[in-house]
Amino acid sequence: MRRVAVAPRREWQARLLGNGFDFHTLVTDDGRPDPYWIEDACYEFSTSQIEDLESATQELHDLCLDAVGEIVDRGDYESFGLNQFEATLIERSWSLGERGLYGRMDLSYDGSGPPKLLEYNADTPTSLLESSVAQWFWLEDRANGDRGAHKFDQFNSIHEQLIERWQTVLGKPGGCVHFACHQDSPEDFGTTEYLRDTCIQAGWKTETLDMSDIGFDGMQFIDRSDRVIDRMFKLYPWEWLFAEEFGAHLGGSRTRWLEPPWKRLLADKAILSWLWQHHPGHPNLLPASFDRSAIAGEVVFKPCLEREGLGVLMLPTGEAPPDSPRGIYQASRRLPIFDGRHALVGTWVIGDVACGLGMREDQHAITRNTSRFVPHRFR
Amino acid sequence: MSGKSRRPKRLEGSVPPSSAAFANRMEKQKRSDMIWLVVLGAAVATPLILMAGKDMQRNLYQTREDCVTDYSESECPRDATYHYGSNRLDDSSVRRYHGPWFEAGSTQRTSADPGPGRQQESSARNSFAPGRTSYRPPVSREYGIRGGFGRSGAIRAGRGGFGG
Repeated sequence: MRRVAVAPRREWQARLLGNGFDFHTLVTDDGRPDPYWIEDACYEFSTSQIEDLESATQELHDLCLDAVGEIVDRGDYESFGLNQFEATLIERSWSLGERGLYGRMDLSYDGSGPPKLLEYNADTPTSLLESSVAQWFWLEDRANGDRGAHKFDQFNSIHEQLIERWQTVLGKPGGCVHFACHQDSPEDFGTTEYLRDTCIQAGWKTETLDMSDIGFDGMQFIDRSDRVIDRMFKLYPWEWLFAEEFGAHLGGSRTRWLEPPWKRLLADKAILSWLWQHHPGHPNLLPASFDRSAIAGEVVFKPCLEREGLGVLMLPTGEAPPDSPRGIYQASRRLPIFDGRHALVGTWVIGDVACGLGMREDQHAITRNTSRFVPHRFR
Repeated sequence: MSGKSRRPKRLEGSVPPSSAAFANRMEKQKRSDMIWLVVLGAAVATPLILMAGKDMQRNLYQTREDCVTDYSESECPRDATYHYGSNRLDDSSVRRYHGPWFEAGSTQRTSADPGPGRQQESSARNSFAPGRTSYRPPVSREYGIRGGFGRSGAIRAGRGGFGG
């Protein structure tokens, strides 16, 4: 595993826009352009390293599904902060066999040794379009323009796996699938539109709407045209859905949601503690606990329901965070540094298949929503 | 999967994988053969109709003609879910037609709100609106709310996205 300097494509911004990737450059608080996608470098892996990442991701996903089953069977919700209503919806979605669509694992991996799970973004993962489409076309373009580049492959069959997964999750095409997110966020809207694209290709009619456009007619959730929403993909955390005004109607409506409610368990960092408790010493897990004193040395405090690095604190030996929300302590595993940048491996699970990889890097030790996306290749 | 067409539809400049790329492929393929996009590339953000937190209502009519007297045809779909006098979703013996949602308290149509209906607006003005003489006013009114989701996202939006 190494970071390699490569020449950007000519007019790469236009190429990305042509892929529908219009948030490749962000804007800082003081109005300056801040690249989110960069292609003057890429991460290069060996085939065996990719296979290690693939098998670790698959193993961890399988462990997570087993964990959900056990938690639901035992009603072991205490550490997840669920009330009875939420637990009932989660149990119902699990017992009905409602299937998940996708998830992204954040792994600490430097090319040697087993990859370690930092967290599983199983409910509202983003950086999907760049992982699936933008870096795929980057590799294709380079293969066409550079004599040596055609030798490289990429761990990325996300696109076709998504189309297949829609067919598995939804069955025979018919009716309409609604897609909702907070559309003011370019990244969330781009991710949702990409998923909608793959759903259309799976044969379904779709509608898009902002979360605030969802209505309730007294019995069912409805769209802007007052049509009942039968199937809804939402890029919106389950804990927010539960907590907001319409959350009380979730139990009585016929809407089937993607991700299904049981994904709420995997999106909660409490799952990291649960996994370590039930699989201590697993090579792909880091020690994690609600009890600071259970983990020696430097730890990372993670709020159970935050995203994009918010609230994450690195704590030296013996130190505890002041006035912290519900959170877990995870043994510190610092990200490897390449050319002065901390590199995070994100591996994709579509349905139940590990099938892709996206690299993020940052000057800071904690990956945030502004951390840059860098394409990858392997041979 | 190899039997499916993967020719790109909208993306200019995309090309099928080269034979060299295929030859290089490992026994267990790890990458897409072709990516095909139908929405992205031409994506335009949908204008938002924000009615956050507002109480909404809509009229229920006995016939579609009554509804169309108040609104346009496209605003009067047959109600697929409301079953008058019954909570059974499979009971289709009695159906109603509903007009569009409008803001509670609204008295006339505006560009952002369809209002209570032409006949209702006329009644409020004590004037006559041309229409069917057999017009029957709404048999009832449904109440609902828009904006019951999205508040957390709007609050978080100022801090950037929230996807993981």
